[in-house]
Amino acid sequence: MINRIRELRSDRGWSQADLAERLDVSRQTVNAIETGKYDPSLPLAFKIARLFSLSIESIFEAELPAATPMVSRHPME
Amino acid sequence: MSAPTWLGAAGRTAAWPSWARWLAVVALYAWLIAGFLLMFRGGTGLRLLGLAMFALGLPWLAYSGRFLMRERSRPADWRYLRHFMPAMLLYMVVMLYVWPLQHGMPPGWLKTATVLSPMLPIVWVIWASIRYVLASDEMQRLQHLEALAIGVSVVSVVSLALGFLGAARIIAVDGPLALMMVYPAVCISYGATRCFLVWRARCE
Repeated sequence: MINRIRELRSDRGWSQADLAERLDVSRQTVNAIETGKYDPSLPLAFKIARLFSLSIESIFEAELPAATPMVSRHPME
Repeated sequence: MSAPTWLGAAGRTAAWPSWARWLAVVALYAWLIAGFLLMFRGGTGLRLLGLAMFALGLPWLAYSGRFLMRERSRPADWRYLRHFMPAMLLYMVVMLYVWPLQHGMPPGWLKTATVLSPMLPIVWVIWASIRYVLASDEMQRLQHLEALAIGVSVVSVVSLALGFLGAARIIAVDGPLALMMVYPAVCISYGATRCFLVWRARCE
């Protein structure tokens, strides 16, 4: 999962510790979520979305699957 | 709950570089070990000095993990500290001054109670630890679970191996001592594993 949390946090001038305090989690957890090492649970994702006043899908995005071979298309298509 | 004033200085260490943090924690452990040795190897005065050194180092011991990780303390952290500190101090006092009284006692309920007296602070510490884990956030809980699974597995394998060796009389295993070492061994293996997991999460 990829997310925009670092960007949203920086826009508000918050440190990781500030965000951690607002979400009631550890700074280590915020760092792990930002770097994509840990995917938050649904309740925590909702909490993050509420904090930034955005929808979950505008913050989190599923990573695209590994590159699939390009299907050659007909030039006339 | 706000941080106690006696730990207010900790908040001013935010800009410390990593090497200074590690150095401070190593110094803290050296201080605690020195206090521990004085408690159990010194005379009466030195014992009290060791106890005082240990008491002064305990809050910093409980804080050292967050200090290294640059974590702000949450209310659950202070609650853990409020229970862990007196429990550990009580344990030391009981081991130094109460438990030795059982040597001259005749068998009976008083001797049994005296012998089991260290269990009171130990149960207190375990209770505080459980509350601390339950108050952790979701990723920390996952780390606790993994660390506990690995730590307990290591202790189980070692104790089984020692048991087999002892049963075959290849080595002499002191049964009561071996049983008493289970809890500290689990704490050490769990703690070391958790440190590794936290370090790995930062480095990956």
